[in-house]
Amino acid sequence: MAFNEQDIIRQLENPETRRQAFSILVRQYSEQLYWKIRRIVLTHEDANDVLQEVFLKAWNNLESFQYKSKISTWLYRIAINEALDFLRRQRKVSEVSADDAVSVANNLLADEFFDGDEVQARLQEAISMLPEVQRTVFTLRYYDEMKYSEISKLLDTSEGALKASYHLAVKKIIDFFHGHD
Amino acid sequence: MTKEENILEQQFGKENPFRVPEGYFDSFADMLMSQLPEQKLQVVGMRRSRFLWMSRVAMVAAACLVSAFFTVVFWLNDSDRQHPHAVATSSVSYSNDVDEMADYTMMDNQDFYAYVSADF
Repeated sequence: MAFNEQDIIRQLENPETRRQAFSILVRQYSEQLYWKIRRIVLTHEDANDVLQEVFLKAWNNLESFQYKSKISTWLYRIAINEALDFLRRQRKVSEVSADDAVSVANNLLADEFFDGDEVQARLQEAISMLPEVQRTVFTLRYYDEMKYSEISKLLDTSEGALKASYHLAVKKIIDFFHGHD
Repeated sequence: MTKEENILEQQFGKENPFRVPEGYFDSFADMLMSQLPEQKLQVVGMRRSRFLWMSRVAMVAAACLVSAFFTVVFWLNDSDRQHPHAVATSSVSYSNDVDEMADYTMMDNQDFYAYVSADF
């Protein structure tokens, strides 16, 4: 059955059909949201935890969603915020130093759910060293190939600022490899 | 695309190096829905919230009208002491107008009077 956002919204507004409609929402968006989260938090276990939090938060805050934006935009926004909150909590637990950043690559290479080679692992390490928002902008633009206009709605930031942020991120990643060669 | 972006793409590509356990996405929805709590708060749709907002506006507007009527009635009472018939007529008229307003705001008369008398 084709996913019709207007139908889903109507069903979400009705308490009798809300749960069924939410189930459809989860099936429709879980994979897309998962990959956005995974590229930020890196491991499958963490991405799985964050993804569950995203949908629980969406379920508990359905009333705050006033249907002014697309459901996907609303969900993506929750997902990005939850992923960034996760990173902040993680950073509080262990201070990330240059030595710890090197271990990101080693951790990934040891991760059974990482299929990349050493170059890919070092790329992820370089991305993990970016400031959080820059990291988010980079992954959304580079991997998801999202338009700046779409990212702007997600992050509530101007397209100009996003372009600057992305170009800066690219430069830092290239400099990272020059510095480590 | 800038020169640096070109370098990045040529050197690293855009392949996804991450993977998930087999069947993860197939089972995720069922697993999540089994954990979802019963919703305690009711979702207020756009149409219903707008109706509630308009009801409140109507109540406030009605309260303002009633207070205006009280003012007029007291003023008439004060200035028309020599014409008791006119005062009696205006009192009856006032009572009818308030009833009409209560009907207009779709509220129970008792609730409406209680609301108004709280302020006056």
